[in-house]
Amino acid sequence: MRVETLYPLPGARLLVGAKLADISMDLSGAFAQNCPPISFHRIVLREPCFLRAWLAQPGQVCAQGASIAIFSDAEDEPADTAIARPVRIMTAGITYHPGMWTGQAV
Amino acid sequence: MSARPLRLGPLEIPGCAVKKSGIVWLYPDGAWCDSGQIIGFCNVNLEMFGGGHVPQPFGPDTVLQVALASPAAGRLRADPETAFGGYLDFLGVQAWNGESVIGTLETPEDSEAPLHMRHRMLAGKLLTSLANFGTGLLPGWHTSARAWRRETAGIPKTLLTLAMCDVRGPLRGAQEAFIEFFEESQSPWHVIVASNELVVPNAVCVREQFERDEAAFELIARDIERVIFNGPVKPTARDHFFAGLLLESLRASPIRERHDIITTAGLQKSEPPAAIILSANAEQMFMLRHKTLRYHLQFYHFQFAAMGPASKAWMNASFEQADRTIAGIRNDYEALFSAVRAKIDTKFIILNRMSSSGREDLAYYAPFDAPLAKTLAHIAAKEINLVLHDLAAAGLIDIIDTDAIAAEIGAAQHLPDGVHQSGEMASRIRAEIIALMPV
Repeated sequence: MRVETLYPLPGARLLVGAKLADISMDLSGAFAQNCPPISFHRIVLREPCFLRAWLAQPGQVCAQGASIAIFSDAEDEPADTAIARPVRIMTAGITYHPGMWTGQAV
Repeated sequence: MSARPLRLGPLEIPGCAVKKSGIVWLYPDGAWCDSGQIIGFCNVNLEMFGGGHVPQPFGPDTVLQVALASPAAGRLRADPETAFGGYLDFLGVQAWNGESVIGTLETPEDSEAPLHMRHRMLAGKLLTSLANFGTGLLPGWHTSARAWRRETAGIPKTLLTLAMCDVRGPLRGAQEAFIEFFEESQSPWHVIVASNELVVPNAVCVREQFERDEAAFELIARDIERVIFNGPVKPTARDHFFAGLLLESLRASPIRERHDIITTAGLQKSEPPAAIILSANAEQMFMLRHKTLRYHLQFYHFQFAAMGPASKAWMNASFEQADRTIAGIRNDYEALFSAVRAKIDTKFIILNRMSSSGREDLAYYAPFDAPLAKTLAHIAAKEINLVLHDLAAAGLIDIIDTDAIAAEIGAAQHLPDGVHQSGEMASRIRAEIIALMPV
């Protein structure tokens, strides 16, 4: 999985339905291929929260299940608080757009 | 069982020397072969008699091969002397002799009458003769790959595919050599898979390419020359390669091209395509439009990474984003059909799009702005599929229902990214294409 686009800035108060990030999946794996099977997806929040920090940046390839951001319920929650659970999200297949890391020429 | 001599079969062309390589056998001695199964192949060179400037058929950049199909069911006993080995199974070193015996076929019939191999012709036009094309069936990087049965009487009808992977896979098959297409059909059609490696064959780009004349092409070429090669950013080898490929992609329309073919009547020219296959996957929600020359390009997004710095600078400076709507895509289709049908009598066949995904867990649409098709890939796919139904209802196209086939046999297993199929799915789509190509 590659991070394509990050939307909110750290510290932002986010509402249900806020778009968090666009990611891509390339099923061609380790071999080079003309027309690699890449699909794009958007991660959208299903609960209100605060974005505390991004752990990834556009263009970064992440392992399946890796954390890419830290959220909190309260704006001033201490940064060293143990991670309690994954944030509630939903995922949608999206069309490619020029704001993505892939194809930055335009 | 009786052993029947297998003869190479006739491939004579008046006024032309036909030379062949050694035969590459695809099955070991003693293998059982079905009637029509492709069991070997050889490369073929054609040389027209006459002076040095006699135009050579198929042109200098075409790989021409004869795939040998078994004329009957039986056990193959290939003559090992017909395979020369090394480069000689590659180069045209032997005159074609249709009566030469290349092995025997042990058949159940009580007959010793010789059998003639059937010829499945394969032609690949190389993008550049600078690239070594290697060995095997239809090797090399082609602008078009073609296949037809030599035994066809008269000029076969032409099926042209302006291919994305979802069309190319079913027609060219697992070995990219049309083997499954030949073995699963008796179609006498001349099939062309045109591979525009750079410009996505959407309705707008295909129409503009079809209508573009030499003067318009020259304007584009001069613009590329001015900005990429003589612009503010120093071009690299990547830029030269990209620009060359782009110019080749924009120069000729596959719909207008005519090709050499060999049938029982000898060397002939193909006719305009009687059917053209497109893919709805080519229709994306935005393109690039040149700010002054007003032509459109749509690239595969992964190709941006292959551009050099001068090409990227040219693209950023010279192009603007041209957004598309679903209604606009319908208009673009209709404009393409009108433009092409004004010149040739053809029918259009379009593969629709997979319109759902197991990777989505979308509970509601509120977070997404209207129109949803602008952002959500599977909403766009559903709406474009509906456009295809409207076009089919108006008698303008035939649809190959990829969406329904994938849903029936399981998209997660057979169409994991919505474009690239499994062998089973490719076979199902191939059967649909063949059904639309009457014998």
